[in-house]
Amino acid sequence: MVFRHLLGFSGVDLRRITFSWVSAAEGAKWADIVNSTSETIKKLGPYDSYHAVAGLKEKEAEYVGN
Amino acid sequence: MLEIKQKARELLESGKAQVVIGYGKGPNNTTRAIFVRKPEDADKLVLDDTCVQNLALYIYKHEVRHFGKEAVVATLPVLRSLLQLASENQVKDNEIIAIAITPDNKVVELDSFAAIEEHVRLFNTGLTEDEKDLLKKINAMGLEERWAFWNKEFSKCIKCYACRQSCPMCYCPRCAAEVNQPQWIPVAAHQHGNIEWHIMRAMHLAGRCINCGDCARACPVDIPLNLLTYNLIEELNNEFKYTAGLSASQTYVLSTWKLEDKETFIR
Ligand code: SF4
Ligand code: SF4
Repeated sequence: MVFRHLLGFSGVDLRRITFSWVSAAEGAKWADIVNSTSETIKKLGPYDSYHAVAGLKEKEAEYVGN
Repeated sequence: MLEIKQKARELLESGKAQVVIGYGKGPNNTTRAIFVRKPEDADKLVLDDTCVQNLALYIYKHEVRHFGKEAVVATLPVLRSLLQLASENQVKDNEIIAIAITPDNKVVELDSFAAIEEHVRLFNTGLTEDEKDLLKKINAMGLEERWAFWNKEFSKCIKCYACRQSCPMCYCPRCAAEVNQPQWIPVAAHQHGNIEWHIMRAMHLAGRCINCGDCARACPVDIPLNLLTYNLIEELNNEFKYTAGLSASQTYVLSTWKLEDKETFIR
């Protein structure tokens, strides 16, 4: 809850993050959550504002050669 | 102020303390922490509006512990830090003498956590109205705007870690930011790594930050990074009725489960 709040306050899109508690015996619940989460995210489209920033990390990797 | 000097001299003369951590004047009329070890040096102590640094930072450093029994000139943030550190088993009861000021300007000597707890209750420990307004402003921003706001702020960060060094609650001998096997946080001060650093720092201080503001004051590029943890103070207050640094015996909010905890965010 606290971490979610922190992400929200920092401007991260919370619609793209799902927190859940699924027991190993709850296969159906798990499938359900994965399906509905990926559906929501598909509807929202690519997370451009984050990709713009994440790209920098790849550039760094190129630069330091790993 | 005179009484602070007297109290410090008394403590040093009687041998009740071997070092008094307090504020003194540095070059160019700056205020800085000083460590008084001789009674005759007690005159160097000052206490005025410029004395904002959280001196609790020094109490557990072994260079200072090495001097012997410590006394510290304790403003409200220092006292709250002491209680928070106590609840995290970083200081023991009766180990440190706090020289504090009552709301009616009297100097008191607090030598137990119980006395500090009682003293802290005399003060308002919440965020100031200005701080609350800033939080409201950020919370009222739209998603894109808030992301842009923090990205702009974080992009200034040069990863000097002054914010971490200035925080009394950041006492880990090896910070996760410096662990390189595996490397959790990218070292370079690029945007991706900066976001990770700030979120990690704030999360590690969630429920531990006592709103002294030293991290933001230490930041050479003026990132209002204290707002990240202040926002969590409000959140923990609202959701769990929890405030850090009010009691030496309270258990850490994020590692305690209570029946009445809300789980509204979990599906
Ligand atoms: S996070 Fe900042 S405001 Fe909070 S206790 Fe640490 S230095 Fe003080
Ligand atoms: S003090 Fe400021 S610049 Fe230095 S690491 Fe912290 S936020 Fe970044």
